[in-house]
Amino acid sequence: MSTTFKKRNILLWLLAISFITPIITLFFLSFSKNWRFPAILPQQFTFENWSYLFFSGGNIAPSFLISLVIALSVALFATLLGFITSKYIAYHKYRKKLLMLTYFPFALSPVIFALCLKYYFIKMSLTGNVQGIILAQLIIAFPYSVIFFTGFWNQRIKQYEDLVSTLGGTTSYAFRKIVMPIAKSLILVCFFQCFLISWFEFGLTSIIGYGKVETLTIKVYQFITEANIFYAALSCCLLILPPVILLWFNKKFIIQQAK
Amino acid sequence: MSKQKPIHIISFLLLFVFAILPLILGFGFALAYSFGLIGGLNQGFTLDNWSALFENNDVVISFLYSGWLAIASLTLSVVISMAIAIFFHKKFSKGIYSYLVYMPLAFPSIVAAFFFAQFLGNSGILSRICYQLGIIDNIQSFPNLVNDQYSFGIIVAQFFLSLPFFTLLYTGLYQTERIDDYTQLANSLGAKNRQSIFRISIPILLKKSFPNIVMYFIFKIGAYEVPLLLGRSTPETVSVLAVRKLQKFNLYDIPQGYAVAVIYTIIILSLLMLVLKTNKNEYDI
Amino acid sequence: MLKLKTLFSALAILSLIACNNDKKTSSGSADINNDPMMQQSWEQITQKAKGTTVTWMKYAGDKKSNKYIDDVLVPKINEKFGITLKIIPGQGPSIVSSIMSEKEASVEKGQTDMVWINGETFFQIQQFQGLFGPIDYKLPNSKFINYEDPIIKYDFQQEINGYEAPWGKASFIALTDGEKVKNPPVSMQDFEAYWKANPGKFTLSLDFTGYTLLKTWLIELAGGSENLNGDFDQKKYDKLSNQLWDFINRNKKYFWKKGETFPESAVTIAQLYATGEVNFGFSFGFTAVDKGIKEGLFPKTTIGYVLKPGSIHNTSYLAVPFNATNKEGALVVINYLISPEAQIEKSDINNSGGTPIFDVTKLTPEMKAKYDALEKPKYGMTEQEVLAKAIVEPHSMYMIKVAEDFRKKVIEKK
Repeated sequence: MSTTFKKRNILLWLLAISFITPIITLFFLSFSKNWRFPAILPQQFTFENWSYLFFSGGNIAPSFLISLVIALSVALFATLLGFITSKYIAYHKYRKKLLMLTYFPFALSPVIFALCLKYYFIKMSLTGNVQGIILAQLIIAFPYSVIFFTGFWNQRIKQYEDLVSTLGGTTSYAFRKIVMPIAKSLILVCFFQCFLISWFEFGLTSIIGYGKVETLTIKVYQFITEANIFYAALSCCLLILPPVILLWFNKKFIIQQAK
Repeated sequence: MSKQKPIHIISFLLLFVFAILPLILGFGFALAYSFGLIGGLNQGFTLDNWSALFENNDVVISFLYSGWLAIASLTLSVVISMAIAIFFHKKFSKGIYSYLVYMPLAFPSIVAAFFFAQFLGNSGILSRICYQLGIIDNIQSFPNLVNDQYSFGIIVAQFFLSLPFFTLLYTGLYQTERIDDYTQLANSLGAKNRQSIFRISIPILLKKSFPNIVMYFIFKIGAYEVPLLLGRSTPETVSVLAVRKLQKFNLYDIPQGYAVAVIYTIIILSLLMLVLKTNKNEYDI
Repeated sequence: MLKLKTLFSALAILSLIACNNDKKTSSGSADINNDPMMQQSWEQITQKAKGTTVTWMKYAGDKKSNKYIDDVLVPKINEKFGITLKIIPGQGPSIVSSIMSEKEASVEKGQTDMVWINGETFFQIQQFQGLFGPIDYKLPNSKFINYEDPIIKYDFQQEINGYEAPWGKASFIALTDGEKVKNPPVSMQDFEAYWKANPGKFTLSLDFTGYTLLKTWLIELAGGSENLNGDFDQKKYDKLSNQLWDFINRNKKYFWKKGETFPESAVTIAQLYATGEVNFGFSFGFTAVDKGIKEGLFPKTTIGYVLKPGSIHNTSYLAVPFNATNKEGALVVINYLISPEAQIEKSDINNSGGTPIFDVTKLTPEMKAKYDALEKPKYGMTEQEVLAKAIVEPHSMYMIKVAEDFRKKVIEKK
């Protein structure tokens, strides 16, 4: 029995290592210079990459901010609008059909979807600017949020609401005192999920953003194409940072992720 | 409830503008472009683009390849995460492992792809370690693990990205479906451990997670960043193929790119309809 | 279903109307541009450009030149002209497709104000009249340029007609490690022998650079560049390209990763060369070797050399899209970029490197002195050595065809 236990532990450790290695590697690479084959460690550790990209010309800080602004806006709108719309769908007599329609845009590959929609975005002057990207990402995040919340509006909630109105309470009273307290944590989860959908997005952003809106994922790709692995690793670290903090802070915000 | 409530109108409008309209517009555009009805260099209705697309079987191969990649990485994730749920569900419900296992959720696809390129590539970390250990004596003796024939790099990266999702799903199901109770019951009735795993735990978990598996499959068919960075020049996944036809070199390939988009959309939507129709219990994400 | 059909046709008609709107703009190759914007004096243009932003879409794969642009050029242009220069990355094909999408959507105020292009990109954009022009006659610094020089007048055998302003000259060279490869292969025959003796040490990229190598071989098969001069000749191409694909297909098993995959860009090949995975790189510009060594990327024993048919020589240009929002700003920036001052600075191997586009005889003595004082390459070939072997680019269609067929007849062939 004890040998199987040890074997199990080894397996667990292997898993643990494989989950932690990427983060450590990227972190180390972001502080590296001159990393020639076959050396395992780089010849030089340096703050140069960070200081260049943050302080002199490298403009990674604006990218971080833009990504943040986009992701927060997308999360805010998607959660809010999705919450409203989901109730409409949930109690609709064609609930299943409407829900299916909502699934469609969510299931498509964002990059292919973006290529098909590019024409309209150009027409509306929504390429190459932040508004356009927010709108385009909403096309994925909003359906997600609607689907997410549709499950929330079940018989139980409806019965509570009905009860309040039979007892003479107003709809807004029911909303504030009954619905909101139950929904609060779900709303938070949805908010962070939508934040991550936006924060992680690359394909759609590259097409609608035209390369002009340099979000962090776009930067990573740029650095990869110019074979600048240290800068790419640094941008990767910045991308991983907020989700890792979220994870540490409260993992329930992040663990519902589906995409 | 009365239909005229403004909140209902707003809700419907939102649904229409953000979900339904883009789909109709995008699909319509791709369809019209592929048949030469619109587009700067097109000259009216033609079937040429479609016949050119099917001159060789690239497109078919591309769809099969995307499907295969999705199935391969999914199978790995499902098997491993199920094993975790069955054997280690206690370890992963709290403590350090419960944090570690979710780490990949903090990785965007593009970051995962970049990491695996640096880790598995011929001049990557693994290769360097092998060299230092004397397992290989030059860079070329290291096997191709990225941009490789068997798409090893892509499958590993996708596996890495999807493992936490399924681990979470199965450890959750393990509790909500009260599998522990069932197996204890079975064991007390004389079933062997093995039997209760294969006859009870796995079937229940599989059945309950089937819609999630299919949804994940649908997402993974459209994967873009990982195959873009870790794939070979051929075959290409559907997204990579469509982008290449639409954004690279030959302007006269653009209508074909839209044709690929049309086929892709039809396939995905049919698949989706099938899952949502057959699945009575609504699927939650 | 019927409803769906009507909807689609309605959509199609709508979009058709949208596309047809502006088929008439930009009227071919007149010498003078009648656009009201071009009627302004240069002073007015400079004045108007002040305080504006110019968006420049360009290939951004060269780390060193990116850094030069970010750290030196952008601040300088801001200081001199009050213009904020914003770079957005985009290779030839994506430049073409982005201008074309805007044309299809009849967008009057486009996303990009200037682009860095040449050859097949210019050719493709001009197929749908995607450029604003002519512009060259309006640029004061055009006086330092000899527009009658064939290498500038013709971009891949197509007359530029003032629609592009030259920015840099490049010559295609091969590079290898002189230590490892004692007698660098020059002819196709040499390469075949080398590959067989050293499997896995060679590959080419699926971009501009790789396709130029293929064209070089096409020229070798044709028996010299003069045989591919003039318009695209389908018959000739079919015959020669079949030989070329056969040559590659029978040898690709000796390529890197057995020829089953090819790197997307020359940048990747440079990396592979640096780590010793392959023994050859290819580049535009005799300064590439020195740049690589200075960066610490290439071994010091790296040498540059010219293949048997010669070094394909071309010019790359700056141009303004038909719908550029800030045409004044773009012209001011272009005018500065083609100035001797900017050209000399760019040619410095510590910056971008490469050959300047001015006519040396038109320079003032001070400029000439400055140019002559530039640090000379230590490791690669000298400009004169490369130029002595320069050959002209074949017509753009050769590039487009080669790119397409390499995928169809080599990559996708089992």
